[in-house]
Amino acid sequence: MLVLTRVKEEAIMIGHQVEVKVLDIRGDRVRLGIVAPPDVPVHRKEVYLAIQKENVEAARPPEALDDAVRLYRGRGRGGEDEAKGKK
Amino acid sequence: MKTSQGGESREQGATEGGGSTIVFETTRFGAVEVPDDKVIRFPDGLLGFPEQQRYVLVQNPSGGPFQWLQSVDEPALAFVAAEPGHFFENYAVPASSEELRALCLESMEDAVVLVLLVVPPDPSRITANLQGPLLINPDARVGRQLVLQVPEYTTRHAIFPAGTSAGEGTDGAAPDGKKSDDEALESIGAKRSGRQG
Repeated sequence: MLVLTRVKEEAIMIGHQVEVKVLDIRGDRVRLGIVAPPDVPVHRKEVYLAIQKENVEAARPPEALDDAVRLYRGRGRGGEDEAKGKK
Repeated sequence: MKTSQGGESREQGATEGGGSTIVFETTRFGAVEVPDDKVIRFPDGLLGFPEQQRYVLVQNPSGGPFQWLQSVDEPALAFVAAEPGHFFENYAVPASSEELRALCLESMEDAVVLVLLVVPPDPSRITANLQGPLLINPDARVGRQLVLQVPEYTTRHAIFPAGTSAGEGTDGAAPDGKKSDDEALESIGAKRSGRQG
């Protein structure tokens, strides 16, 4: 890991297009300003990891999906035609 | 993207080119053949799946509001997805103008939004990831998974109200439907096992 020391208002460049600037430091909180092209997604890491984890979870074979279809129809919401057809 | 009217179909791994359909193997649906223009590209992949960038949407064989986002390149990779409006009437994706522009979208009205579902053994506990919706430009067939910074949206929202169970129909839908869709389930299973040989 590259380690750099920066003070308020200083910045680093990552490649030619991504700039990360230290805007403010208060106690253990650092405010960063990030300039990046639109095709470079920037995320808080914990949120990124949470969604990544959820995607992995979502990629598991969902054996109960047919039960879910029945559950959905049973609610009579959104799928009214199907629900009526069951009467 | 160039297209031609040639009627040839291509086996899996078809890359750029003019074929009008693409054929690829899937674990769940067997061999799938779709027109080239049904393939949706996710240039960044989905979070955690950066290598898989080509998907097709398949309607769930047993119906309901569910769709499958099936990877073209990884036979076993398929997500259950749904349009969030089926379950969350007020859900809105606050896409930034940069995010829209990256997908060549002029406004959210032109976009298709899907959310991925986690389907546990108890279907009443299915959750939707409202924090990481998929934003798709259906005309350009390109999409991206967004990461929302909206406090009320998390990765796990129950799609059915608490207390929902299979027998709780409000308009007479009978709970005895327990077996009725098993044929669909079996046919999927049959296909799957047939493909693994």
